[in-house]
Amino acid sequence: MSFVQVNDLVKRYGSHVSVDHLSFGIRKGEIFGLLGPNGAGKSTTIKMMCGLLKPDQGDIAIGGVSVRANPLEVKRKIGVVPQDLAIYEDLSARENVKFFARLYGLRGKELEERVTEALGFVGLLDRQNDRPGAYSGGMKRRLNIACAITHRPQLIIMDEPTVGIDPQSRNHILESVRTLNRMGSTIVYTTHYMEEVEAISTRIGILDHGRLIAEGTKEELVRQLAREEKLVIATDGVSPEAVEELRGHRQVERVDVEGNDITVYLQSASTYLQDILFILSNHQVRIRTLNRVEPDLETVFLALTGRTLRD
Amino acid sequence: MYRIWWVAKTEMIRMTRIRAFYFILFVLPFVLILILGNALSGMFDMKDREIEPVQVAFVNEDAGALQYGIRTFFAAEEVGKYVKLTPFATKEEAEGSIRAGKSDFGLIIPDGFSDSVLRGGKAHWEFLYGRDRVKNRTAESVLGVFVEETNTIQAANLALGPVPAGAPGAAKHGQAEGASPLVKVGSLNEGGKGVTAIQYYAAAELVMFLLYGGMFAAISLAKEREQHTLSRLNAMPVSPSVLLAGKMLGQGLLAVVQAAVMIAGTSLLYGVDWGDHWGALAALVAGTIVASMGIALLISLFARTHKAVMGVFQTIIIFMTLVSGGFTQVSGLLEQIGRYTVSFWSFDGLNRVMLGSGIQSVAQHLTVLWAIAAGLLLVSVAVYRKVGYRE
Repeated sequence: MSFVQVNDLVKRYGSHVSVDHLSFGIRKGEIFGLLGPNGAGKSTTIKMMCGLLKPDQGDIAIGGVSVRANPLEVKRKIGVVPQDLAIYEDLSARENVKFFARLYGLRGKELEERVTEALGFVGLLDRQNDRPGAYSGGMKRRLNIACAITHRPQLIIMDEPTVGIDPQSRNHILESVRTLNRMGSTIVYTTHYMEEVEAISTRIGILDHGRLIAEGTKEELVRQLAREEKLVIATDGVSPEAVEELRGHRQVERVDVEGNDITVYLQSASTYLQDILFILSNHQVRIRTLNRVEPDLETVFLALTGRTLRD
Repeated sequence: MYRIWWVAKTEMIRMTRIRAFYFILFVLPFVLILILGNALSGMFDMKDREIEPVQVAFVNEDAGALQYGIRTFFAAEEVGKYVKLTPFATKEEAEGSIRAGKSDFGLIIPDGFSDSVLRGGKAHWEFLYGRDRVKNRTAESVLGVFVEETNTIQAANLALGPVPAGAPGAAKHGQAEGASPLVKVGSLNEGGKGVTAIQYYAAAELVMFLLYGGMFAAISLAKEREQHTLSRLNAMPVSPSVLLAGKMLGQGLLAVVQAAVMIAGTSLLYGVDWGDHWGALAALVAGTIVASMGIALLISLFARTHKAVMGVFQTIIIFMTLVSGGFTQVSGLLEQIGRYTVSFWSFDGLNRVMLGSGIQSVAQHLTVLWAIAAGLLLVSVAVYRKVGYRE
């Protein structure tokens, strides 16, 4: 039984179909990474999950409650970390968190405790009385998260929460996501950073043109979809004849040349490594280094969408 | 209510963090009232005018039985104080004297005047008007008394039968004990309250700043969109109507504070008299605030940025203030247009409260003002239901 169930979701803007009969499920306790190039329909899907947009067709159920039928009840179960900073610059960090917590219905001692807990969680307790204007970009992002978690939501939706911040703050946020997940929250995480999805997601969905084109764990996706490996060979000088012969090999999918570096894409690098080395040595190409690169999510993404994630 | 109150309270806290807020609340209105009140005080000079005696060129062509009464009338002290008679033989000479500027006014008692009156005809004296409108009016008022009184007696004669012949008009002119004086100079301001420039602009600025309260609410609503906090708020278990109500309440309460500061401050600093009808004053202030919040809601549902909100709202406020006479007194078409604005009914109502007009006079203003406010709110709610409040 999925905790989040998306059923046949459709959203159109005029003649453009942003989300096209999308269906998928997220199990309780998962960190679900939602990947997709710009315009794939991620943000529209997220907005429909949060009740910010009404679907033209289909529905989303969160914890068994329909977003379409009971939006307010669903909103009590979720916490949203929007892509854009959504905090008041004229309130202190504590006042910000407290204000949003009050709107979730928290009061009195419980309110104070939860606010302290959330600020401590994102590492802003010692700066809680400062206004966000005095914060770094990373601290503002962390405050953005704190405002979404005081009510201990069952589902946390994070829409690119690490955009434009320093590596230290990014690591802090990724660690926070893992901790929130360990504490029992199910998490939907969208990002442009492949390494983040690889690092924290228990399952990944790849969205393109409003449709889910692949879904599974990282290992499943790589195993099923990334059949190519690549050899990155640094040489002293590339011979055009050698490149031509490499391209003629029956197991080589593609050969890219950049300066003195040759990248060879093939089905199984280990099996055909000797063939590649033989061709290069035949053409007196001296090899300085050779790296065998295993397929990764980027390869999967490229294979599926024909684009890199940041295209 | 808990959520509405916290949205309102946070709204007020956020406003107090804006430096300009204190300037707008405590300084700007008083500076504007002072500047406008002093710069345009000439328009509100309500002092009583000293009446100078009028030089009257007098031609008496009548030699009838009423001469005694006429002479007695002219000899009366009250009459002599305001008109100085210079006899002339002919009407032409009197006209010449007026043209030459030697006389201010002319009086011709026509030949056969006494006979005509004694036969029951209507009394009539001929007046020759000079250049000075005030002196004309003075002479006309003083000299007209005799003719009016004579005609009154004539009317009584016709209705009740003849009275002893003699001197109509002279009965009183003889100044029997207890009789009313012939000429009594009164003051239009007597018993009422005047409007000074400071009073006028205190009311005008109060209305304008209450409308600005609405503008701040609309800006706040637009900024929630621009700062993306609206998408977070919309993703929370709170209805947008709660957010709107909270924001309106917060800004409305700040407007009440602004009104209290302005009323108390102008009263203490400039001696502005806000009248005795505190209930009516409060109702006018409240009606203006509700109306301004209605306008705020309506504008914020359409305008996407706070700059657009400011542009539209300021135009509306300045236009309404102008046509309602808030900058300077208006007449004609502008005045007619002004009657369709919130500012007019609020401002005119405040003026009436200040002048101590009866509550019935203010009630009409309150009714219209609250009707406009309710209409604006209803339209805003209808538009909100249609377009919503979202990013």
